[in-house]
Amino acid sequence: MRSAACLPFHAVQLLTLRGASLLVPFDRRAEWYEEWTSELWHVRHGCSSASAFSWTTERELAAFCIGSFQDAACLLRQDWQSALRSAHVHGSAMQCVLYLSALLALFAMVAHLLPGIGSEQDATRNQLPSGVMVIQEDGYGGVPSIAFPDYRAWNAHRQRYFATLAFYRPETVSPSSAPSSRRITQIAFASENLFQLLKGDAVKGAPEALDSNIPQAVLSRAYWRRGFHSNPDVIGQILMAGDRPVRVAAIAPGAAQRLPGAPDLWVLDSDKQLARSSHAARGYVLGQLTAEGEDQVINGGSAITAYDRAGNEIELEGLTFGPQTNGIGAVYFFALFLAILALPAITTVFSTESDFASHPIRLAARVRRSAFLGSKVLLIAAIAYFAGLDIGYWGFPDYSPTAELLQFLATFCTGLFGLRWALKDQSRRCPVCLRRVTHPAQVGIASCNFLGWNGTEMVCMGGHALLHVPGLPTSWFSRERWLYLDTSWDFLFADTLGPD
Amino acid sequence: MRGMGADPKLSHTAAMILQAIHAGYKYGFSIMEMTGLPSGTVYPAMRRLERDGLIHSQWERQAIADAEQRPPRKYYRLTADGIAGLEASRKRYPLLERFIPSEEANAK
Repeated sequence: MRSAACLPFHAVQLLTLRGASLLVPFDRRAEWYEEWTSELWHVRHGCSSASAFSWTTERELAAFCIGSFQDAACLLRQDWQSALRSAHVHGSAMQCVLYLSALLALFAMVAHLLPGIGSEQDATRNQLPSGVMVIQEDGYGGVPSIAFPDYRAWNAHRQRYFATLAFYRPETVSPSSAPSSRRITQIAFASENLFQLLKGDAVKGAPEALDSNIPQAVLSRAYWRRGFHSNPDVIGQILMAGDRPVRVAAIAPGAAQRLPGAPDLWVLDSDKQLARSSHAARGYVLGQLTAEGEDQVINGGSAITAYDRAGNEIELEGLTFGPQTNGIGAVYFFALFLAILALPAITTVFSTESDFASHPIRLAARVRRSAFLGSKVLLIAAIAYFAGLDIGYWGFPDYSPTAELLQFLATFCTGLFGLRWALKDQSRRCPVCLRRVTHPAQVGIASCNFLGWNGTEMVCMGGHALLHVPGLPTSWFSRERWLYLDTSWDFLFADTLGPD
Repeated sequence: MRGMGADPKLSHTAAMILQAIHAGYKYGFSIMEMTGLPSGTVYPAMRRLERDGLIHSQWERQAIADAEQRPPRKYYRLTADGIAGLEASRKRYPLLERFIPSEEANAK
């Protein structure tokens, strides 16, 4: 009979053993716990013959129970070592999955380091509001074409098709002596309402820090990332825009870098200042379409008729902004979809037949085989995603249509040939243990046989099956064929891993 | 299972445990008592010896435990490889037999 004082200690000891048992691999846990509780009983009875409570006994029992953690950790280590050993078996399914996972991790790591990918994601996230368009005179083909006085005149009157107009004029400046990453080469002088029109997630500073007579400027995302490593503390600092000091007021939304000219810095000027500085130069006008304007664009394309100061008609064309970039995800899914469509053109999807009638493969083995194929396909799809990004954006620090095209091509090729490899690899794996068949042996010679079989024979090193690959597909032997090896072959195979 | 054969590179702890089992101390606590080693050393060492095929474990029949009114014990015994390993260890650790005398020695 155990003393009542011992009971809480005993409960704690059992709890300790239960806790340690959680480290033990599941299939051995119950037996492990049973052994330790049994040993605990013997320790308790060995330590004290009497049932009376004793601190010495309880201390010894506690020390004994704490040792269970070392035992459990030992079993856990053994389990890991055994899993690693089976993964290192040449051509095992685990080895294949490990290699693919390592490749995936490598590509994902590289993708994380490429600045262009972040920039593209920004651009995708920062889609402009619908109905915002760049306006230029017809036939100018992307160069600045609107004179500031025209813009001013349009802005002074209520427009039928546009709710709001904004102006900016890009200008190339001579490079300063700043380090190359911080060198400003392109500046845009913009009307103060430009970024209200663009909206988006501009990074803004505290207004009191910006209360100054110095003109305000907005950094482009790309320049902010390149020159200031995305440090938000740059807001409020004074920079030189050419020979003018400007105070950084905000970071432009990502989509702003898709505006023609792609300046590093936007200097926000009043109309009066713009009239002085841009009187003779031409720039771009951004317009927010009214509902009627949107109808006009939808029905009549992007040609817009406007009137100059003298009331004459001028032909304008609008470059709609909409979602110019399809986004990384859309490009990836489209490329992968095409790769899957193209797959049957370069490989036979189901190229093997099996003769396992006498030894049907267990359901668990079939499920494992399907799961393995599914894992390979998923890993390859993920690899294609990151490989496409890595290749596409390797030399492009910002969003670029060329990068998008490269991403598409790389994803398509990686997906197509990766999936082809996955299917080929699957057809070379033993249906029972999923190891790759090895030791190819040429059987027969086509020119010496009449109605005889010739081709290549490969064997599973687990001793489960032979794979016959016909050299010349015939009407009676056109596809690769599995042949099950019965137990009479066992003596040839020292290593018989996997279920049979 | 990984057979070690008569691999002489057994640690002193492993050799003591083999000698204890050979001497008739066949379950964990009795080995602990005999060798004076703590549970955190004895049991992991026995796992490794079992993994290497030097010892083999077997649960005692429930009826025997019930008759003695105690939980069943898990008994360990030496395998052929274990006996060979112990022989090699005795040459390496000559005091082993004196520290844990075997049953035959006791009988003499």
